Formats: sequence, C-alpha cells, structure tokens
Amino acid sequence: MPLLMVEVGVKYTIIRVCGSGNERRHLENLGFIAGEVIDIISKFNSYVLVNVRGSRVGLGRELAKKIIVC
Amino acid sequence: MKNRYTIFLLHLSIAIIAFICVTQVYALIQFHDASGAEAGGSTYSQFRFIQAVTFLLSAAAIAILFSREEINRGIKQKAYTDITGIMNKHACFEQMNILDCNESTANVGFAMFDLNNLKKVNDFYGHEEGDKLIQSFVVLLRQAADRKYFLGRFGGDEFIAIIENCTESIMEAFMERLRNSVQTFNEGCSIQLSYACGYAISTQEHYYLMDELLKEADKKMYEHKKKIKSKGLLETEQVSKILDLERRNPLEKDALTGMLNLDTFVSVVGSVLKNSVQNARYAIVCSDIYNFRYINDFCGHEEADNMLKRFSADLSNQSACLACCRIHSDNFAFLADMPQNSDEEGVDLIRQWNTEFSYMMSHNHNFDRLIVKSGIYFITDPNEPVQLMINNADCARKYTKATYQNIFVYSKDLSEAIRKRAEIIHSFQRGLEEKEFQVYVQPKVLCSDKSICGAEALIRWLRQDGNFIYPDEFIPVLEQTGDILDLDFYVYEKVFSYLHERYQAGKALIPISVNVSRIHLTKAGEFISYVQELQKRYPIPTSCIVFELTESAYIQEIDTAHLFIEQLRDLHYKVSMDDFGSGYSSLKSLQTMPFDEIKFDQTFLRESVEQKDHSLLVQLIQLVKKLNVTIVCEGVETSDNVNLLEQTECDVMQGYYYSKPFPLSKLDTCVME
Repeated sequence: MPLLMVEVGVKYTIIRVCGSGNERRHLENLGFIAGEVIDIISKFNSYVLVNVRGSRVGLGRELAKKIIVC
Repeated sequence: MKNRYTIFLLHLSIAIIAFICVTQVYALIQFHDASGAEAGGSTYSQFRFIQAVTFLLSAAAIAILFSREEINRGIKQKAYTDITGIMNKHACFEQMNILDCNESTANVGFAMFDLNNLKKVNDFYGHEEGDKLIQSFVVLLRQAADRKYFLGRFGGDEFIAIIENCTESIMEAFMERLRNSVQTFNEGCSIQLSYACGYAISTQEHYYLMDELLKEADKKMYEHKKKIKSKGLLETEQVSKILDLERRNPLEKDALTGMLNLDTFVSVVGSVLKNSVQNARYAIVCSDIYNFRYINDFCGHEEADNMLKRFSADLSNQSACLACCRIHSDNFAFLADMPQNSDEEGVDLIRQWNTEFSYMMSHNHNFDRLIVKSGIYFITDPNEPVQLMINNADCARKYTKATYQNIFVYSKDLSEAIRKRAEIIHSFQRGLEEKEFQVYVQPKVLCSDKSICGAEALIRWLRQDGNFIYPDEFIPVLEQTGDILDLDFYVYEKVFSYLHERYQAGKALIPISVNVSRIHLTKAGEFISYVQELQKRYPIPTSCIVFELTESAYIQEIDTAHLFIEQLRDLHYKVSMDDFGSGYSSLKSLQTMPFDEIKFDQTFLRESVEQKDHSLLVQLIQLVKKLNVTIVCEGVETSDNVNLLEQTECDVMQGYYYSKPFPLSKLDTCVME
C-alpha cells in the first residue's frame, strides 16, 4: 500500500518507489530505497513523518503516495 | 479547456458581479433611511430603480455564468468523447490523473481490450466494415459494463475500462458478461469479432499506481493475445471468413469438389501470407490418396468422384485448413495454419487428419487400405513464389512413396537430392556421348604371393565442368531409370577392347571383372547377344572376363539369375557373386550357387576389425571354401587386414592397401611393376 495509508507507530518495509525519474531520485537521495525498513512517527492530514536510516523525514501527500510499503 | 471566449466570459461575469456589489453597498450607504421615505418621493423611486437594475444585472450575471458553464461542459464533453460514443484517450488520461490524485489507488480495476485482426478486416472488407466492427464492440462493451464504469477508447482498436471499488469477482463478472455478449454477437454475424483482454486490480497486497495498472493490464492483454494466436484460434476464425468459399465465383472453383482451382489458390495463398501476422506459421501440404487409380478401376468413376468430394469436404472442415485446392485427379494442396511451437506438432496434426480420414473411409466404403499421403512444406519466407512452395510440398509428397512413409516434410536436403537426381538423369546420355565416364580398375592381389591376378572395372563420372559425381550417387538413379544398361555396355566395350588390344599385341592378359546390374536379369537375351557380339568384335579368351552379380540381385530373382548365370557359363565366362554377406543369402542357397568366385563384402573386414572378433569371417571363409570357389575379400585397407586374411583360406584380396582404383590405361604399367 502507499505510504499515505499506513498506521502510526508501525514498522514498514519499502517495496518500491515509483513516480517520475526526478521524484524517484529525490526520494532515493532521502534514503527511500526498496528494501529499507521505515518507522512511522506521526501522520497528520496526509503529511507523514517517518524515520528512515536514522533520520527523520517529513513527506507531503504527493511524495508519500509514490512510496509503496508493506 | 481554456480558450479566449470562455476567459472573456469569465472576466465579464466577475466584473458584473463586482459592479453589483459596489452598487448595493452604495445603495445601503446612500439610502440607509430609505424605509422612512414612504411618501413616494423621488429618493424612494430612485432607490427602487437602482434595486431593480441591480437585480436585473445580477440575474444576467448568473445567467451568463450558467451558460458559460453549460458551453464549457458541452465543449469538454465533445473534446472527451470519441466517435464511438465512449471516452477518448485524453479523457482516459484525465481520469487516470484524477484517480491518481485520490488518497490511494487501491481497489481500482483496470481492464484493457484489443480487437484481433482489425487490420485484416479493414483490408479485406473495407474500412467501413472495420468501423462497424469497432462500433459493435463498443455497444457490446457498454452492454456488459455498469453505468459507473469508465469506458474509453485508448487507441485504434484498444479499449479500456476503469472500475473503482473493484474486486476480482466484479472484474470476472464483467469479463464473463462481455464474453457472452460477444459470443451471441458472433453467432449472428458474418464478420467475426474476437478480442484479447487483460486486467489488473490494485489491492493492498498488490498495489499499483495508475500508470502501473495500465502497464500491467497491457502486459496481460498481450499475453492473452499470444495465447490465442498460438492456439490458432485467432487466425482460423478470421481468416477462414476472409477465405470464404462463398465469396468466390464459380469460375475460380474446381468443378467437381467446389474447392479453389490452382490459380485462385496461388493468389489466395499469396494474399494470406502477405496479410498474416508476423509470427504466424503456415505450411503448404500436398496430399493424395494412395493407389487411388485402383479405386477408380474397382468401384467406378462415380464412386471415386464421391470419395474425392468427401475428401475435400472433410479437408475444408478442418479448422486449421485455411484454403484448399485440387491440383488434379486426387492431388490436393492446402494451406494449413500450423502451431507455432514446433514442426513436430504440425506434422502430428496432419498425421491425425490423415488417419481420421482413412479410418472414416475404410469404415464407410469398406476399403481397408485407403492411405492418405502428404508432403509438407513449412513456409519460412512468405515472399517466396507460391508456385515454388506448392512444388516443394509436392516433391515431398512424391517422396513419401519412395520412402514408404505417409508423411514427409520437405527439407533443403530433399531439394538438393532432387536437383542432383534431375542432373544425373538429364546429363547422363550426353555424358556418355562426351565420354565423361571413365573406366577405372582396382587390382586384385593373390594372397599367396601378392601378385596381381586380376582387376575389377569400376566407373567414374567426371563432368566437363569439373564436378565429380560418385558412383553411389548416380548408380541407384540410373538403375531406376534403366540407363544403367547403357552404362554397363559402355564399360564392357571398353574392357573388351582393352583386353583385345593386349591380346593382339601378345601381352599377358589379366582377368577383369565387370559389374552386372540387376536390370540385366530381366533382359537376359539382350545381354547375352550383346556380349556375344562384343566377343565377335574383340575376340579374347572368355576366361579373362568375370561378370559380377550382386548378392541382392541374385537373391531377389534367384530363378532368372540361375538361368542367366548358366547362359554366361555356357559361353565360358566366369561369374562372381559381389557383396556376399551384405544381403540375405541363406545358407541353404549357398549350396546351389552356381558361382566361380565369391566376393566377401567389405563390411566383414571392417566389422571384424571394429569388434576385434574375426571368428565369423574365418569360419565363413572356411565354409565357403568347401564349395570349391575362389574367395575374394574386398576392403583390405590395413596390414592387420592382410595378416588376418593370410591366416585364412582366402585366395584373393582387393582394397586400398594395395592400390586405389586408377584409369584402365595405367593397368599395363602397374602389371609391369
């Protein structure tokens, strides 16, 4: 499912990152790479705050949609 | 959908509404005590007038806004609607964008459809029919779909359906409905509608974004399409209609069977090949009914004609048979749609038809042996001339008779063999006149003192263009055509004249053995008189000539062979049995064999070397020796062979170990040495 639909406080694994080339590159630079485990810290109004590779990253709606986790 | 007109309208309405606001505010400030002015003063009427104006203006503004919206919607509708009445590609992308902007695309189903063979329908029936086909598919799609489904035409013959809140079962039900309605449509329609479909549903477990859904559905659709094609369904349904016999006029048909005639068949095959999909696989098959003329003789022509009709009807009904024609009498050619995977499958398919037909025929007509023989030519290059393809298939068919097979697949080797055969047959007589044939001899050596005691005459054919044709290539062919007789006589004459020359010159004579073809057995009289004539022309001691008759020829016609040999021996010629042990001579016949010499086949030596066991050869030589004949062993190639033969009672050896065959003229020098 996309990152938008996750529950707070659960660990997820990234299955893939989609979107256009630029978006993907941007997300990969932030550390969103397939296989990575991420922590959902909080979620507010389709704004998601996650812990990825030890750093906190906030993602807006458009970007969060492009990350597919399970 | 922003064009100048709508932008202008938008601005105008905003300006009007703004103006209304300003007037209203002005009215409020100016006439805040207007309620007090009851007595119809000018202030009051002024106020009412302004109110009326504002009301009218705002009403106008609302009307303009509404109409603008209406126009806008109309334009949008037009822009997004395809000629078929469902959404077009823009709308599809728009819809996908809208769905993509939702929270998630989970539970969105995406189905894709593609019409098969639309191009062929366009080409064969015209674009009008093709458009009709698309229209009817859209109608069927709409019938099958719920009102909530988004339907769109994605490309020329590609359609999509987007279903929100979809599950597997909803999608399956949709597909089922579509399939059913297409089936009922096809039943009542001449042009068959067939489509490939694929769908993808985005779920929690398999989550797709919209463009991924599109890709996935597309992929599945193409898989489906491939599957349909490999089954051969797609081709047959459509092309058989294209090749519809009903559409042909009687002149283009065979009068008896109602199949196409050869010319039409050629053109039809050409057009099918031209219009077929890239990786379709076709074959031309030529079939005939084995020994059909006996049926003609036995049951009469009427019955035979019925049988031909039956055969052609049966053939036309085969699903993979696209077009068929009767070449002549019982020879049929047809274009078959072959499975793509392997040639064997195709061959099996045709074999199955043939057996089914034979079975049916023997059942209905009480013929036990009605065999259909087929030659198959797999079309590899669609641009080849069709006549050539048919010829190739026919060649393969003819070859079934020679090889006692019921099915023969054409190959490059076959055409090469046929070409070579034709070359041999057609250039033989000229070759004989131009003295392209040369007589070679291979000396025979006595076992005891290794001196030359004779020679075998062999034939070599060196073409004028320098090509060398091997005896084992041309002799079987010449035996079939009967030309071998001329060749044998040619050799005899050469040998007789050579020996005669030496005899005249007073030199020592070496016995030369010459081969006798089996065909001579049937024309023994001619043979004997020819030999007698030669003897008259070139008087030589008759013991100098040995006639070699092969074992197989002797065994096959043992009685005629006996007579033949007797006649030769009456003329005091020696007779030898060639290739002893290569055929089926029985031990019983050994006793009655009227031969002066027995030549062991070279396989004996080869096998005894290979298997390191010479007991059979040794025992056999012992046995044959008791018959009081000369024993010759062919194929002596190594010193081991020589050692082995020296231990036995073998009399004469012949082989490469002593000498290769050389021209007859060099025999002199060889003997001197």
